[in-house]
Amino acid sequence: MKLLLVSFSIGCLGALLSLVVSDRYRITVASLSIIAESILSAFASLNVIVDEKRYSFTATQVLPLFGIKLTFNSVNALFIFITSFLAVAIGIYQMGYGKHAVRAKISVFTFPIFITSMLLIPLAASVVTFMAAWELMAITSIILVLTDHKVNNKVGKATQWYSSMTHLGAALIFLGLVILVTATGHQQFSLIFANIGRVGTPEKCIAFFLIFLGFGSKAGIVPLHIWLPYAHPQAPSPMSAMMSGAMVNLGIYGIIRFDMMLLGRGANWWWIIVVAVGSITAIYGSLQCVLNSDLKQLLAYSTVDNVGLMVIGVGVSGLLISAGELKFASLVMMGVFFQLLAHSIFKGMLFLTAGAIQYNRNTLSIDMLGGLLKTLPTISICMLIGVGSISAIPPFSGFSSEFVLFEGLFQAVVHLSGINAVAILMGVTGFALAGGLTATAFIKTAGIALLGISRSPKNPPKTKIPFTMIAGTLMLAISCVFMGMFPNLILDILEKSTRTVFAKNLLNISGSFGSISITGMTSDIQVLILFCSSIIFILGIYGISKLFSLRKLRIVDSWGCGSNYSSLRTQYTATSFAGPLQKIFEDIVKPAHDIKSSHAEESKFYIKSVKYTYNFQDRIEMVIYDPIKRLILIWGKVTSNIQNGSVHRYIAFGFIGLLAVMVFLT
Amino acid sequence: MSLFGSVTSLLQILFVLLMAPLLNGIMLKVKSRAERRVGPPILQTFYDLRKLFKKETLRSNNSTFIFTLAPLILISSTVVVIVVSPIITTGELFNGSGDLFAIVFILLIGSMSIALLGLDAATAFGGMGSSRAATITSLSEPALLVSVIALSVQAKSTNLSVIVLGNVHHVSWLLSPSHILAISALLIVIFAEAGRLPVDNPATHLELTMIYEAMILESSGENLALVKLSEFMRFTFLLCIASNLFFPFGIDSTKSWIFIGISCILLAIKLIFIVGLIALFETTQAKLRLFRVPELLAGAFVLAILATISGIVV
Amino acid sequence: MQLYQATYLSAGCALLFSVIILWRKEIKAMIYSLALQGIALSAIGITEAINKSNYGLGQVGLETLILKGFVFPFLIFKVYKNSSSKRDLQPLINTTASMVYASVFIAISFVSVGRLPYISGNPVFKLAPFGFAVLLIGLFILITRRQVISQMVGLIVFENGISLISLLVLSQLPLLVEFGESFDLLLVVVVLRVLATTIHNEFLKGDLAEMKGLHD
Repeated sequence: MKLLLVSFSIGCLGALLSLVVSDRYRITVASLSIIAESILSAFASLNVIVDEKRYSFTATQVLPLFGIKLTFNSVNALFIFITSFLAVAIGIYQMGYGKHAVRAKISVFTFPIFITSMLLIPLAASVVTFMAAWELMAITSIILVLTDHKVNNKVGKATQWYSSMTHLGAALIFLGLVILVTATGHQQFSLIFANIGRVGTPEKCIAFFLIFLGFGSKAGIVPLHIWLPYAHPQAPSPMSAMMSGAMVNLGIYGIIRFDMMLLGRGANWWWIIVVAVGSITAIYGSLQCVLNSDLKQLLAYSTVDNVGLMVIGVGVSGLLISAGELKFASLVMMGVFFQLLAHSIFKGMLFLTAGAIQYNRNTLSIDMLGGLLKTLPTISICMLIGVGSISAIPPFSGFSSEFVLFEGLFQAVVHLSGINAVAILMGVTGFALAGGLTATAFIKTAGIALLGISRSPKNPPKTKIPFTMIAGTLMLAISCVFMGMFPNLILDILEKSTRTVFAKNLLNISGSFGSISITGMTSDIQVLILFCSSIIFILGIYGISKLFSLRKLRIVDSWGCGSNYSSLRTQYTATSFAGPLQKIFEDIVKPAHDIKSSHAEESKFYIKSVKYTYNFQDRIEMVIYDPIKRLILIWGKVTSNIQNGSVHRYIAFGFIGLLAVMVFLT
Repeated sequence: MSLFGSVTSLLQILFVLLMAPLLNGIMLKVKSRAERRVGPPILQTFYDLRKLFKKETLRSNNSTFIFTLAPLILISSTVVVIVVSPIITTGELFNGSGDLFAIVFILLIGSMSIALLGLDAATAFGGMGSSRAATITSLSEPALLVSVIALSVQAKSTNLSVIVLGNVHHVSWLLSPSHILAISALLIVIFAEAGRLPVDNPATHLELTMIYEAMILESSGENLALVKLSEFMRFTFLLCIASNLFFPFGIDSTKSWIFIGISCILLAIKLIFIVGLIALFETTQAKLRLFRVPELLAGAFVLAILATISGIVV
Repeated sequence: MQLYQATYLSAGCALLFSVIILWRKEIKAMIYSLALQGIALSAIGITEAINKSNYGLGQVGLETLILKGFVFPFLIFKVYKNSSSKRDLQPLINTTASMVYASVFIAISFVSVGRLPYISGNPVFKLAPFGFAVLLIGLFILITRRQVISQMVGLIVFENGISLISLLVLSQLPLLVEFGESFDLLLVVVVLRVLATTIHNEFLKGDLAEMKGLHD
């Protein structure tokens, strides 16, 4: 615990120091403080998880009236570990990236504080502490999104979306918690939990859904996901990696911590709704992800998709708890934790590779990329590993995590009956559809961006990617492979956290080194051995085919159907790759096409040029948010009559309000 | 890792490796006879593969190491899947790894690597093929996953060996509505995954209608041979699984050598029978338009969901 | 017991001075009353400190004496000297009506605050309505007066109300908070001073009611 507090102070100190030092060293100081802070906190949290310790800390002096209350146990230590592990790599990456790409002084200063606030949130043990840390995170992340506002005019819109959604979410969370606080009369989580019996059922329901929606907006459940594809692409890459990899987790943390652990065993229809929302989120996110062709936006939508999977998992786990099947509930919960961990790391890494690509090629549009495997080999291989992980293919981390989650869902289908089983089937459907679409989306991303040749007619001057950027990305890539190949080590750790959630020892990690085997699961996948044997097969088959073949190899041009070949214009692009799927799902996404052709002067049968425009917008934004925006504008016009600029009138409003409250009190 | 396990795993690989080209030859023959042609000899596919291995390999100047690696990954993922699944015996080498979910995702490795191969050489047709194949994969994958659940519900296990053994011991499971619906969903998905007729025509030579062939248009020589071979092996493997799930009798569960021999022969007979039926079916079918394929796969998806629901309820 | 009476007396004085501020038109008189109110406030702090032998409260009292008794009135007085207008002649609500309103506010605060759950037991808590009344009158001055200087005075009266409440109700206002609040106020006074000078130079008289073009 002390170690953790020390690490926080290092972070804040580094932030302050970065304000003082000269421009040349600013990024280095900030990054080093991030690295030091997160190594210490990763170490501390791992220690807590492994030893299953429990610490608490109270500081009454810091905040007036309520003070700060923190507890540190193996559940929140898991979240702290994930955040800090990711932050180590991002800190390393930022040393190289930031020197040229992050110019704003304030962002450099804010970033360590943002990370500190994210480490602080899971620790909070009382409502006031929690909301304070949450608001700190909200404000700092808004500043980070605003970093490039001078260069990029899209930032303004992104920030508007982000700040409004984030404050809406915070308000919902606060309302939900206030309901609990007023009903139990305590603001410390442990005391709320002890007195949860005093909360009536309707209040419990309202609190449950307020908290779910509030944290859901941070995690990005549909239809509250709308800010993710705006905000994540606009922040500089290390920051968007942190937002997509770690901040989103805190939304899931909130749902687990408050809806599941604090409110106790709930009604099953709560969780059925959660599962339904999760599966809609997963399907919608993956569909948008397939159709998008902006690298970072695509990754943001894929975050929505993965959040959907986690929400499905949390919902199914809750459903199993309410049905009394604690063993399988903890299996599913473990799957959720694993997915959380795996997702943080591969998504963080993919954002870092996107940053490196942007750094090198000055664009994020996949339609303009191509052939990166030849020019940026290391970054490209990291990206391929990320693609493997996210598509859940063995031996990468995504496979192990989704396997545990899927086994959990399967056991839930088998062990529940009636409406509950059908609800879980809905979750499985979301899981399955999202899985297929995600794989396609990332075949597209990797295939178009990394293979073939560059699709942009003029190549920007190539900038060399600094070593630290590659090192940070590589660190995450290696851990993706590690988590995939030695899942038993990870499961051992996750089992301890799961045990704390359920306050019971329900699962056993059996099985040999490098395998996934948990009691309650029906299979025992030996990922490591399968991987090694497939390497042997690859080498063996390669050797045999070399023996048989003539060993003749001729390098030629690509085949152009007999005519001269111009790869640049005839290659498939990301948009055309997704063409069939876009046509299949046309009714859902409703893209806007427009073909304009201009004719030659001699005859209208000769076409001089054809211009095809294609505009693709988030449908939910159009259907749900546009009317709301219009209403708000109208409301704004009406209310602007009330504020005519007179200072006296403004003060009078406050005065009347105060008076009204006092009269109301009598 | 017993001796028995190692030997049977090798046997399974050999079995599929030999049966795959043979079955393709049989299919071609049956199709030709049904169309009143003489057709190629049954062993023609073997000759074709040998010929491809002997030919020189052309490589596009735009391509990367993916060009060589993808066919190898494709075939080795197929081999891994064969090793872990119960094909001729339920006592396989990596007991427990033969999980249906894992098999689905190991097969996905192959599909992904071949889709990347299509994009590697920067040609229009390669991209077109990859795009179409990825579209089909993205739609068949969910159907496959849900039918995995449907097939596993009765045995309460996703382990393929346990399911097959359960089917052997409980004949009533085989004829339950859940099982029949799930098998029909699985069959549709197999047709899509293997690029067979209503979805893709493996015999086509018109680039615009190609799906699978377009992806491997740039491959030649040994690379093409590996891709073709693994394509046949995947199809054979999927048929083996389907036949073991639908009609598992004869599969060895006693771990004795004699039964393994019998099981090999019986499985070969079953496969030849199925392949004959498929060939006859394919002669009566025309390829579907690409945008009608989703309807077919959606149908499979719905069948799989119905299968699961009836499995839960009954 | 006598010390309690001293506290009562000081609180009453504070309220009385705020009414006087509302009543008088001469800005000079307003500033003097403000200073006296500050002194009354500090008296509360000091008597309470002696009463409860609370060292921190004594510090607060002294600090109030210095800032609100002398520093703020002095700063405002300097502004007053520079400005041309010596009286706030046209309040938005005339003085007679203001007095009536003030009595209504005092009544409301006494009735409503007395019912708050906090106000029971400790006899000092009974003084909380005084604080609310001062606060309301301060706000009222802010609303009705046109001159920038009267605005400043109103703001400080408002602040004094808050200090009074916190002194009485909490009886242990954390020094840090008190300092922060005073610093805040100091800043506001300085800013308003600059504003007053600027407005005075621009419009030749500091009438805020004419500044309607500033809204967005």
